[in-house]
Amino acid sequence: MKGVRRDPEHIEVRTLLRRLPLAGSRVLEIGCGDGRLTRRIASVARAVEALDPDTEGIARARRLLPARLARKVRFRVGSGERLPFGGGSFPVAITSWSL
Amino acid sequence: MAHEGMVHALHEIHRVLIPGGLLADLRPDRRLEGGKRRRDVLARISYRRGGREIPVGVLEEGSFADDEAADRAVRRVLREGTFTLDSTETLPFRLYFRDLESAEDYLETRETAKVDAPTRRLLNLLMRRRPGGEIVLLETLRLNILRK
Repeated sequence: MKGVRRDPEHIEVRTLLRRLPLAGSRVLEIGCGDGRLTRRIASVARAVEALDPDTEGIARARRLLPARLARKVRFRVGSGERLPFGGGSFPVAITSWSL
Repeated sequence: MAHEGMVHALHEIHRVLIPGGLLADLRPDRRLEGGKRRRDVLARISYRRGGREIPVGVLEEGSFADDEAADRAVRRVLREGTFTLDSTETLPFRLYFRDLESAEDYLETRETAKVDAPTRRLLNLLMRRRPGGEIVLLETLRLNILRK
């Protein structure tokens, strides 16, 4: 989205970092939208599986993902009601504006 | 997502978490502000230029049904013992727009939110008289940390 800066102070991700063991973890993010928070989480996490039901949002998230994070992040179209992962797969999950 | 869908999603998340795993439930806070319910107010709007921020108005939300359903879903999984609550806190979330058009493009993505006419007039006036600033939307988020 042009002409907007969202949380440039990074308060959201700094709060998450204080509360969650994100560093080095495999993280599930539900409701990733265009991947704004995903990119910030991925800079410290070992891997991020990011889901959103909006196909356009996922396409945009993939376009905006920097090459340096490409091996860490996987974007998928999907929702929290049906998670395509086995039991006990993640130490951390985040529902970002999606519950 | 309807209430039952939210409860189902929380059960799905519980399934994919390891024992002791954490869920961060992050979303706009609709609870209390100064002892009153944060009813109808989605965000505070101000105009910022040169380090000075001028309050302009509020952004109203037409429906809080989803947020209330999410609160009920979280209460339910806590009550049934699926998760325990580790912590709850609120945090500020700011968006900076270079013009009203950018702000309105964003607000189209928040289906029921609207800038009322007096706020819009005041913003237009400030942007004409004091150009080069930004429109600031300040929203309060809530972070619940739930443990499996």
